[in-house]
Amino acid sequence: MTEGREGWVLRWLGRGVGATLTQLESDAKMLLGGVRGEAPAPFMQRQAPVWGAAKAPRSVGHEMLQVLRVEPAAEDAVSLVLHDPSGRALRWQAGQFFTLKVRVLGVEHRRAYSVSWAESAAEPPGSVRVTVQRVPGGMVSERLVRDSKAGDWLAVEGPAGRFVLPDAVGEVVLLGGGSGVTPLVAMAQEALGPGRATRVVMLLGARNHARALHEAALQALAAGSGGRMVLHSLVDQRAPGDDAAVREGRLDAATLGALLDEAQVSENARYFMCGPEAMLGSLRATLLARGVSASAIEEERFVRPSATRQRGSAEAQPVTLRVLGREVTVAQKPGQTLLDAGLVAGVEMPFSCTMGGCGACRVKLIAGEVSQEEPNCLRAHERDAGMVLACVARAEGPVTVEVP
Amino acid sequence: MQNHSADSIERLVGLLPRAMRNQIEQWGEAAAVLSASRDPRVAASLLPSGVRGLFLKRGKQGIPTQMPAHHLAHFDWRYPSDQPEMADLYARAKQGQWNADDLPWHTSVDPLDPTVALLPEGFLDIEGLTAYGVRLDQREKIKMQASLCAWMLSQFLHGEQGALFAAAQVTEAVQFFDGKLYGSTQVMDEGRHVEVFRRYLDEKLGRLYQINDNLFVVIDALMTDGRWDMKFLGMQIMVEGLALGAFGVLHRRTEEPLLKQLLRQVIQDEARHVHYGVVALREHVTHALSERERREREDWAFEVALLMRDRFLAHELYDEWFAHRMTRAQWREFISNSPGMREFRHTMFRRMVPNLREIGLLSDRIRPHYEAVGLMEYYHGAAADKLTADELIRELS
Ligand code: FES
Ligand SMILES: [Fe+2]
Ligand SMILES: [Fe+2]
Repeated sequence: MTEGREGWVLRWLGRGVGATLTQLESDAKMLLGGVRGEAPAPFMQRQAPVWGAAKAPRSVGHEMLQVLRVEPAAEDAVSLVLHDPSGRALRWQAGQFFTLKVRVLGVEHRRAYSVSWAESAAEPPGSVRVTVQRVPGGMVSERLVRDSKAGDWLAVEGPAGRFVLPDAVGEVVLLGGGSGVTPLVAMAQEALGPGRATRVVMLLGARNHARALHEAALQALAAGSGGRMVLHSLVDQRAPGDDAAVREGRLDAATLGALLDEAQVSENARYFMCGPEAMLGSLRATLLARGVSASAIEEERFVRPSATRQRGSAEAQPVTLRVLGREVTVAQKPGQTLLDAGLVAGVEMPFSCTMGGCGACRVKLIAGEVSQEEPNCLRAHERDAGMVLACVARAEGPVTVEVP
Repeated sequence: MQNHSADSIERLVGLLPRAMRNQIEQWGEAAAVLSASRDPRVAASLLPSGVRGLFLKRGKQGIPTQMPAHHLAHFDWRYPSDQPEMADLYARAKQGQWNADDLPWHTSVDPLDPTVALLPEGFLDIEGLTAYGVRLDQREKIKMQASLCAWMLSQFLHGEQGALFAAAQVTEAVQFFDGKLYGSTQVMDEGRHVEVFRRYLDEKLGRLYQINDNLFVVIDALMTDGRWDMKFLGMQIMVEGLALGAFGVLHRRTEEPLLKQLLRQVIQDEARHVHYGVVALREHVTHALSERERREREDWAFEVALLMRDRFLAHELYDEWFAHRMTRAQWREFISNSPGMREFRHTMFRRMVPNLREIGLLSDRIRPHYEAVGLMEYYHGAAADKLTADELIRELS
C-alpha cells in the first residue's frame, strides 16, 4: 500500500521531472540547501545602480584618534581635525556625531560632538572635524577648547546618530542655533556635494557675530553654490564692529515664517533642526502651524547628561532581559543603568554613545517601571511603543525588557 | 498524547538555528497549502504544481524551467465568423496598440527619494513592526518601501511572462475562430507588458525579485493542464484579476510619474483581456460543460482565489529583510494586515468575484464558502464585459 502511494506521487512528479537531468540536479540542490537552512537569494541585481551604494551601513567603532590640527571656529570655539595616523580613512554620514572620552581630574567624561564637515569636504580626506564650543561651566568643553593641540590623542567612539540626510531629497531646510550649527554645516556641504541636486535653505541664530560658528565658511559655501543655497544668519545683538551684512533678529515665529516665504520653500522640503531645547520647541511649533507634517521634521537635541542625571532606585533591582527568545535575570546595582547591569552580567546588548543620543541601545519595556534621563533621542512613536534607552534608563522596581 | 508530541516537536524545532527553523516553517506552510483544499480532485490537480513550486522552488533555482504542455492545437480550415463580441474586441484591440518606446523613459527614478515615493508612507504599517520588536530607521523605511515596490513589479513581470505563454497556448486551443484572432493581439499585448516591466526594473529600480512560490504554482498548474478552459480560467480570470487588482492599487498610490503612466497603459490592455475571458468562458461553461465539470472548475477557482488571498505575501521580502528578526508567521500576520495589502485584496476581489458570477462559477452551491471567507460582499459588482477600459481607469483615480 505504501508502495502504491509512492508510485502515485512519482507519477505526478514524473510529469515535470520527465524533463532533464539538469533539472533533477537542480531540484536536488535546492532541497539539500533547504535542509541546510539556506534560502535562495531573494533578488538579482540588474543594471541600474545599487540603491544607496555609496552609503553602506557603517559600523560603530571604538578607537584612539590623533589631533591633526586645531582651527578656530568662533570666538569661543575650536574645531579639532582628527585622523587615524595609520592612514585609514574615517567614515561617517553628515549629521552624525562622535563621542569623545576625555579625562578631567582622573574621571572619564563622555561628550558627543557632531562632525562639522561632510566626507566630501574633509581636508585631508578621511579625517574627521568636530567643533567644540565652550559651555559656561563645562569642564570638558573648557579643557578641549583651551588645551587641545596637534598631536594629542583622544579616545573616540562612533560615528553614531540617526540625524542624517536621506539618500535623495529635493530640498532641505536646516535650522539651528548655538553649537547646534555644527551638524548642519556638514549636512549643507553634503547636500551641495557631488551626486546631489538638493536645494538648501539654512537659517541660523547666534547670540552675536563673534560666537556664530563657521560663519565665514558658510557664507563662502552659499556664494559658491550657484544659487542652490540660501543662507540667513541672525544675531541677537549686533556688535559695534560688525559689518553691514550681519542681521539682527531671532528665529521666532514671525521671522521664521517670513524667511521661509522669502526663500520659497517647497511643500516637499524636509526640515532638520539642531540647537538648544527651547529653540527647537518653538521652531517645531511654528513649522507645524505652517502645515509642515511632523514626519518631515527631524531634530537633534544636545543633552548635557550631568544636568539630568537620575539616581534610580537606591536598592538593587532584578532586571529580566529577553534576548533572542531567552530570558536572563540580572541585578541592577544602585546607580547602574539597565545597560550597565546587562553588560556587567555578560549579556550582549547593543549600545554606542551611552548617553541617550544615538538610539543604539533601545529596548522594549515589557513590565515594570524605569526612570530615564531626559531629554534623550527617543522619538515619540518609540515612546508610545514602550521603547526605552537602556543606557539612560534605571529600574525603579523589578522590570522585564526585551532586547531586539 | 498527540498534543504532547506536537509540543516537543515544536520545542525541538525551536532549538535549531534560525535559518533552519525558517525552512521547516516554510515546508509546514507549503504542506498546509497543499492539504487545505476540500475537493480531492482539485487537490490532485494542484499537487504536482505545488510540489514543484513550494518544495522544489523551481522558480528560484536560477535556471530556465521547462513546463510540458498537454493541450491540443485546434485548427479550423473553414474560418467561421462565430463570435461577434470577440470580433469586436479584436477590432478594438488593434486600435489600442501602443508602442512602449513612447513612454517617458528619460524620467529619472530614484528609488530612495522620499519626495517622489514609489509607494506612499503608510502603505505598509512599518511602525506596526515594533510590535514584533523590529525597528527601522528612516532610511531603512524608505528602502523597505522601495523593496516592496520592486517586489510587486517583479511579480508583475513574472506574471506577464506566464500571461504571454498562456495567451499563446489559449490562442492555439480556443475553439472560436474570432477568439483566435483576438488572442493574437493579446499575445502582442503581453509581450509588450513583459517589455515594459522588465525595462522599468532593469533601468530604473535595478533589481529583480525571484518569482513568488505561490505564483509559480498557479502558473505551473495552468500551463501544464491540458484543458484549454482551465488555462483560460486560471489566466484570464484569476491571474489577470490579481494583476488588475495590483496594477490598480499601485497606479493609485505611486507618485512616480513614469510608473503611473506605464501602469495606466497596461491596465487598458488588461481590461480587454479580462473581458475576453468572461465572454469566452460564459459561452463555454453554460453550453459545453457538464455539471460535474462545471463544479470542478468552480471549486478550482475558489481554491485559487484563496491561495492568492492568503499566500501572495511577499515572502521574498521577508527573506531579505526579516528572516533573522521575526518568524514567518509573524510576517504573514504583519503583511496581510498592512493597509496596502488590504487595499490590494479588496481591489482584486471586487474585480474577480463579479467575473466568476458572470461566467457561471458562483452557483448557490459554492456561495456559502465565499460567504464564509467574507468574499460575498463583492458579488453584485459589474463584471468585466460591462466595464469599459475608460471606466476602469476612471475608477482608479
Ligand atoms: S547607547 Fe546611544 S542612546 Fe543609548
Ligand atoms: Fe498583461
Ligand atoms: Fe493580460
